[in-house]
Amino acid sequence: MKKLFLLLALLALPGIAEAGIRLKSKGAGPNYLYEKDSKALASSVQLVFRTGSLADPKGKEGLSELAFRSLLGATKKRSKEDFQAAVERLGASISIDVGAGRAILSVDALSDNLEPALQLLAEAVLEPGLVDEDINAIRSELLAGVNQELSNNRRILRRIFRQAIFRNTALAFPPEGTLNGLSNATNEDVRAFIASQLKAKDVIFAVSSNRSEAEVKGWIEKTFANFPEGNAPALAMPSPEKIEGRTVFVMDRPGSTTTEIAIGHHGILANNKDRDTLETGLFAFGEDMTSRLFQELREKKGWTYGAAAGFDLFERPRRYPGAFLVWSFPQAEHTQELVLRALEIYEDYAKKGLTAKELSFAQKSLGNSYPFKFATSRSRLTARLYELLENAPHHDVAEYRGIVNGVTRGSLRSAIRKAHNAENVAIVLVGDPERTKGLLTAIPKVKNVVKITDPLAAF
Amino acid sequence: MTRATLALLALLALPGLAWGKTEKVKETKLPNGLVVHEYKMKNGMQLLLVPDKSAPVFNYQVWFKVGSANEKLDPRLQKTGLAHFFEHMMFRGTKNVPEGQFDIQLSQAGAVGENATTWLDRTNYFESLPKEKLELAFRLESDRMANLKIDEKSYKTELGAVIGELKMGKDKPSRVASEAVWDLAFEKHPYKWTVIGTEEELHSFTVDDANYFYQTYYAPNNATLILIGDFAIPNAIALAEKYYGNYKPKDIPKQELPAEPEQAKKRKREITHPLANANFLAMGYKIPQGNHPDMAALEVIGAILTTGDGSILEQQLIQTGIASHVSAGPYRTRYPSLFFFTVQMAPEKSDSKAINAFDDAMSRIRKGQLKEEEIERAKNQYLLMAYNDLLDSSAIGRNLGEALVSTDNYLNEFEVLDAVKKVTAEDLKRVAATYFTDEKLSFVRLVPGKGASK
Repeated sequence: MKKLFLLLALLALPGIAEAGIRLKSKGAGPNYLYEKDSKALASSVQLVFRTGSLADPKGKEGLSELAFRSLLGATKKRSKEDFQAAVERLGASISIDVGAGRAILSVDALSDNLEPALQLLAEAVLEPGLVDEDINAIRSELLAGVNQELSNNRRILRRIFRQAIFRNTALAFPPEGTLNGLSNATNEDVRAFIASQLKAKDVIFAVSSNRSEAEVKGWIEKTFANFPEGNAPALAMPSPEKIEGRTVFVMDRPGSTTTEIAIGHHGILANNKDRDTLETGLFAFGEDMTSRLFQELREKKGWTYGAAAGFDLFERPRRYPGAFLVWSFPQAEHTQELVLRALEIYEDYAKKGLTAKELSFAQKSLGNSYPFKFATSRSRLTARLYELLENAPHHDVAEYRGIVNGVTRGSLRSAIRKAHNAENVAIVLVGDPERTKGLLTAIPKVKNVVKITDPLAAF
Repeated sequence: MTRATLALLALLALPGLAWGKTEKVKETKLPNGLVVHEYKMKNGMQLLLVPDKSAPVFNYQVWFKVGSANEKLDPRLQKTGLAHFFEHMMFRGTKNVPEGQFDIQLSQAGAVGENATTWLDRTNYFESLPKEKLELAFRLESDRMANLKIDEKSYKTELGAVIGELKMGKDKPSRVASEAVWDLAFEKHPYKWTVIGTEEELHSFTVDDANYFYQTYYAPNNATLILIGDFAIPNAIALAEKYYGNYKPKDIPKQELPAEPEQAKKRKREITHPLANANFLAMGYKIPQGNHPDMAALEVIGAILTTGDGSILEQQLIQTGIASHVSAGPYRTRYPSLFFFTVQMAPEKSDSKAINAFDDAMSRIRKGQLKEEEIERAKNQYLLMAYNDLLDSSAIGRNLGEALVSTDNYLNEFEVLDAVKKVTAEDLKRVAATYFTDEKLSFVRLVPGKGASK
């Protein structure tokens, strides 16, 4: 595959809804978002909750994931096996996606069977069994998944980077949690979590279907009529400690033929007023395959299969703090030269921003590709959900092009000064120690070197 | 007759622009209502045009019927890795578009999803663009089909990126194990060799090899253009004639495949990987080529085993914490292939639990002990997966293209969908007894350990 990074560049586009798409609320109750897809043979309904791993108590990291996954066990009416069989015989599939600040239960179903599939989803949400046997089994499954991360250098890198910049906050661990956290979260914690978090005023129903809006809305109102009233507790937004100086975090993985590298710091919020400006700059700096970083490290030097930089590489900007990172995975023998060069390129960008030619290029590219945000019903739905959940501003195509074309080199430099800093960064290296050890003294201005031995534990 | 019609007829009469040269073959309605219009150009290039006005964008894919399997058999090359390496070179420069400009022009035009892939039987190139950029796509894609300029410097630089990709794969235990299964299962057939080749092979390729490969296999009569999105068919055909119409067909080498000797007994191999923290099991059973009528039953068997939370092995291995990932299903390829079953074991869990669970499940299928509801579940899960894959234009194009290169019938995937609906317990019983036998099995067990990763 030639280009891994185009997808990342696509992800870098601000997620905002087009003109004419507006949210419809049912009084103070749940929100409904609907997108028609007349060609679809399968439909999707998502129940989106404004909760997630930010609600995990300290020492019980992974509780929210465990709790939401437990909804797919037995219900009050049938065993786990019977429930799964009933869903899947319909040509339906229920999945769970827990993030830091949102949790999504989705049902995908053959459109002809959407109504009975919704009834089963309602059964899982409104009448969950939450029996010990199922919760214990799901905990074992999650523990196996977390353990498995130890065979994957990229997953290890992400774990370490997370802790490096979000230490002592609820963002320090991914929603999958930790081995200790999952073990400490009791079955009673799971039941209490579900009882407190699944409330009518916080849920959003997001639908993409070839069935009519009235039809689907009617089914939802009927099947979820008994949704528990009230609000879930508001999530506390974490305030990570400021990163001072350059700290290198290194984990030895003897035998690695590539080195996973991340250089980064805190990111921005979804509603940051400079976001479109900053993302215009990042497109030309590191998000596209025509970017400086990709061109220099891969196209000219051939040190790596890929190199990229942006806010979205970690997680799309949201209503809680995110991250900015430069990421690459060079052949092990090019580790040192790549890290030093990547730092130089980032230092230059943080100081000077873009050239006039680069800025003009980014403006044209982003403006021309913006309509893809709305090319499918599911992408439109994603954009609307993002706007609603993360307080992200809405722009239609013309408005977005106006904003991006209005970015100047001066306004970009000013935004960069507030959001980027090449001096205060975490540098994470996961690779063969023979290839990383020389680097520890070669990187300029390093304040501290931290050796990681267990990326699954707190450090 | 309107003025517009007269103008169109006048256009048709112009030499070089006359889309009358391009013949309509047939049109077929897909399950989602879109229609595939098939055309054949005079030079043998196939066009699959699927208009869809639901968004002001289009997806452009060019598929070449050449992949890694063709290289080993080529008398000049006799190595693997060039088809993929060459795919990378296609993004460099041409006589008309200087190095780097291909990406720059597409990116500036708002392209998304620009990429390419190489597999056993094919290489494909694709991107999506706003509808106003249709001619740009034709111009750039047709240009690199015929006018590529390969120089020593860019060749060496790209080699670094390809070796980086190869090493990235070597750091993944699951990938190393899967490649070992292909190697173990085939003795003579080129599916034995990895698509990306070895580091030694990659270093041995020359610019002359790349030019030879390009001149031999990249030809209009070895290519299919799949275009899906917001465009008018007459315009697309006029552009195809304008940009591809002058390319001459070539004599594509007809390769005689070496007969793969009948496998007489189960093959086993144990390998170590320095980055693994738990065992990874990969099993490949010999199955027929992609257009074989048993493919639907094989897909259903894959779904019975691992598709959905209610599948047998999800329940027995994942939901019990014995394994963290399982997968099963047939590789549909042009020549006889493999049904893969893989298990990522959890640390310190016994392999025998996974192997026994698989054997028990297969035994139930062979003996016809599955309940009707289990079969219905699996069939519907397969349909759901397939329907979800028809939601965007690039996925529809991929379905048509993969079917074309592996079966010569771009509608094969949709025919398999229909066949899946008709699969019976008897079909499953027969297919399980035919293909899931010890003498068709190649089994690789990857364990954590020092030493070479392969």
